[in-house]
Amino acid sequence: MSQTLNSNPHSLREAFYALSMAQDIPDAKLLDDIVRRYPEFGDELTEFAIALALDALRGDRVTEAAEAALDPNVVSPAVSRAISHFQNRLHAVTVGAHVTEGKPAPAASADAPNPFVALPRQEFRALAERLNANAVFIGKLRDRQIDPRTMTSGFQRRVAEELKAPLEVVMAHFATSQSAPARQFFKAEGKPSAGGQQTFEEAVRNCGLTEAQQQALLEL
Amino acid sequence: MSAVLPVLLSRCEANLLVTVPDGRMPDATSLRQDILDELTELFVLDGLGEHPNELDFYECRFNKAFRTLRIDAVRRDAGRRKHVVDVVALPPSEHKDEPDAYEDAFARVSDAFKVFPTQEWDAFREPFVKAIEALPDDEREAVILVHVLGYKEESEDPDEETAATRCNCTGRTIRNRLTRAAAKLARFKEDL
Repeated sequence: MSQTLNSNPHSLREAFYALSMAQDIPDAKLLDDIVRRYPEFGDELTEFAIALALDALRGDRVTEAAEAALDPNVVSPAVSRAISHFQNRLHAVTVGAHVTEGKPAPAASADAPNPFVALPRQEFRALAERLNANAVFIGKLRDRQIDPRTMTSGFQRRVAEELKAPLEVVMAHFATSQSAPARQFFKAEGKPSAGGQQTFEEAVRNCGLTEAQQQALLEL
Repeated sequence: MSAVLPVLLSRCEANLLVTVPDGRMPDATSLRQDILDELTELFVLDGLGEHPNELDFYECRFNKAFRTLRIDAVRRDAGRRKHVVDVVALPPSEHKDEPDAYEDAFARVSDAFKVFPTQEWDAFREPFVKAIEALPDDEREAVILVHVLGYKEESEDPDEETAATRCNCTGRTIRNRLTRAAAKLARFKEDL
């Protein structure tokens, strides 16, 4: 995801906020006032005012009921992805700021984003296929069970490519101290706890991969 | 932040599932995700860059600020998908000669914005909103500008903003759009 999710100029967004905050339903006087302040956005503001009026027509009751019916203990896949987006962007901005200041990137911390954690089950399996591995091996990557010092840089690059995540984010994840997985899939009755780390080769050899798969991963 | 963010985003998602439902627009699922991501982007950039205070709107009045973000995202998405349709030349307007045949339909539109929310309106809301949404864009814009926002169709005063100036067209075009829209809304009323 990029920083340009919303490509509107900031002043246009400010104009939209002004129009939306002033009244529930805009009227001609308000729209005229805002357009006078932002004359370059007359068409956009008109379109937005019409959308605001239509939105008001739909009313708030249904949305309020939906929000009230929320189960606070359930985090949906969409929310997980948004949180992952937030963590990745925050990390990228933080690293970018440090690079700009000419400082080295921060050492891995326990808060480094986990690029695996928001993957839906299907994508988790698809990632395993793309890496010519299996879900057990990907689980070890997710749970930081492999000593990153024993991974080849080629392997880390490949993981980043397949995850479509910045290499720095993936490296920071692997370098982060191991912790118990916060969520996602585990079959044990109790929540798994952090254990020791394996070498990359040990992990590859002990995941039930075929000889050819093991060879391919070790040669990356 | 890590504790609050999931709760906040879940609430926003619940809102989006109602306001940007599947079926109202193509790929609503992706659009909802984009909106959630855009919201988190504001948290990331809070205090940074050239405009560090955008999140202030959310601190003051979250619901209205989030409404702004959502409507803007939907507007941009619709703009990307919009087809350019050639406007067919219409015969001269008969508007002036008609005996206010459609006034009742428009009264419904104006009243709808004055009387809600009431129990009576709640029963009427969904079919009414659907009828308004089913209008072509240009007709819907004319109806809302004139009968909700309160613009005149046109004015002899060149400095006065009207529905015609807002839509960059003539007053006659606005009247034609209103006439067509009113016919459809009148049919909607008969169907009720």
